[in-house]
Amino acid sequence: MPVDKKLVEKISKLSRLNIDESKINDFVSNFEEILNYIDLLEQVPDNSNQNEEDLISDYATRDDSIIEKLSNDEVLMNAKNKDGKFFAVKKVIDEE
Amino acid sequence: MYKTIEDINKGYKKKDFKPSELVSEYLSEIKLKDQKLNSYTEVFEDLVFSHAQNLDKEIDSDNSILDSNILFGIPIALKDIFLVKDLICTSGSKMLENYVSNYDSKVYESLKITSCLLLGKNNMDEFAMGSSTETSYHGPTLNPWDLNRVPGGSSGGSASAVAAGLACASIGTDTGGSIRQPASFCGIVGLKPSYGRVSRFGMIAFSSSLDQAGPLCRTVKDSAILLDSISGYDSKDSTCLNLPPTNCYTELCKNDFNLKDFTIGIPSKLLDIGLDREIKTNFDSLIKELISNGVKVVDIELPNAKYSVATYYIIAPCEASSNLSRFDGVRYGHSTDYKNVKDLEEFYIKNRSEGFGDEVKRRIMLGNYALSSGYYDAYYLKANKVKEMIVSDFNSAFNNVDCILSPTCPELPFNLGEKKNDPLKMYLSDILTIPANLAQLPSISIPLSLSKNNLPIGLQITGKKLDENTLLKVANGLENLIGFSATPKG
Repeated sequence: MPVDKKLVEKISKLSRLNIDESKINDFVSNFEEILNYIDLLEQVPDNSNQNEEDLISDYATRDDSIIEKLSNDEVLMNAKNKDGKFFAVKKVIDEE
Repeated sequence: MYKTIEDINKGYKKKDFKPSELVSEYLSEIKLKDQKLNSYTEVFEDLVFSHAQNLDKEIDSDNSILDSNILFGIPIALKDIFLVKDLICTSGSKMLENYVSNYDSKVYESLKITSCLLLGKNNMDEFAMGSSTETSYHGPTLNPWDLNRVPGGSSGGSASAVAAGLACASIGTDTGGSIRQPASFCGIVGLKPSYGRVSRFGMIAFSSSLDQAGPLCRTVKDSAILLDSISGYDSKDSTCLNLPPTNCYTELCKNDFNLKDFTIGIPSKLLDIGLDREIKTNFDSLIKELISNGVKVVDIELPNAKYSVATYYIIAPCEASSNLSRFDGVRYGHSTDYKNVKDLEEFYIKNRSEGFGDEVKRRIMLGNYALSSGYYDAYYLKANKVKEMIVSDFNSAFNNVDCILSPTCPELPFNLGEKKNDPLKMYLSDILTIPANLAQLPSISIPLSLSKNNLPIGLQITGKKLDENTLLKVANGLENLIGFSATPKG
């Protein structure tokens, strides 16, 4: 896929980010340069049949039990928009 | 104020000074120098002074605590990426400029038990993404050796503060060199432990499979003391290894080793990348000196290490794009009034676009691109395969050597602004530090020498996974051989 303004805008939308119009061209040229560099990996022969499960570490797990918890007030203390005991956001479900 | 942990402990024992007197001195130094350096994001003046006064009384009533606990009363700082309950933690970002932690990071919890003194929080690249501390929302930190140059990054505030004598030590984090490169640029010691040695709980995540906390300090012994106190199992980090804390300081103090006991590997081909001439000359002289002292030095091959930067700049942004998706302005972080936006999507976009700086946006977008439909195999999966090849290169090399030596950085500390608009150039400066992160190895930077322009040059020593003991013995041996004692004017 060519690296152009359209691609950068698509990726910024996926990332829930807005890039200032004045900076878009810089983002396009930096993106192009970085992706060209990363393509260096195409030179590495891929002889392995490893799949994702082989490569991603098997992390430790523990029982799903409650060990300690923050109070409701503590959980809400850094939220700018709150309503009583809840985080507040714009309504996401339309009324019928 | 260029005191080591050991110096301060001795000073307390001899009653040369009390914790409150020492803290006052550090606070005056910070006032004097930090307006220019900008190495701290916040200094806890009142809090640390009253803590120190309490420790004065404890020592007066029973000073045996100083024998059993060498960190007692040691004034340190933390990179502003570690949560400390009730204090602001910004991670160098506008996104978290008002964020108050409601619990302690494991690293701080471990340090708190020792009764060390927390002077403040150090500046850093935004969300630890950078190699110069120029991406911080708090403005750039300067290098005390030359105020026109960067201190390195992302733990640049930690390195600058320790180098300038504004803290005895600091704890930083290293994802692709973020402890070792600033330690090198500022002429101090910086240790990245093996992945999994130190809990990441309460440390704001950048790239979870690579991030690791470690000390920036004045000597190898000090790095051992701090590693011993922050390492160990923590059930709250699923990647933290189920191992007891290290015991490196006691091992070092036995003094029962000699550099000749170890075989040192040099990755000559990797060093053909175009090292700065002065760095190459200084590194080569050290190798000659080692050989003439009877140390066994052998050439090693790391054939895939040249792909490290490309591998890293796929894996780290992919993980960052996922980790930083939590910053949507709902539960915490920069947030607009939700009543003034059209819908939830606009709310997210507005919060994230206003809260993140350009480098963070670039990396989130790179990650989302590499993980987007149809690209996963070509990028993330391929990068993880190459990562395994790099691990296997190191495993082969470590069949014949105990440690691997190289300069820490291919270049001297660069000028402020020199690379700010050229991200790829900035990324390539991490070529010598990234391999240890990908292979999860412990790696340390110690000062090697000064350039003709009085800029520090760092020496990197990388060890076998989980063998911090051998790594620190070799580093201590080299430190004694090199005898670096210069301090910056700034």
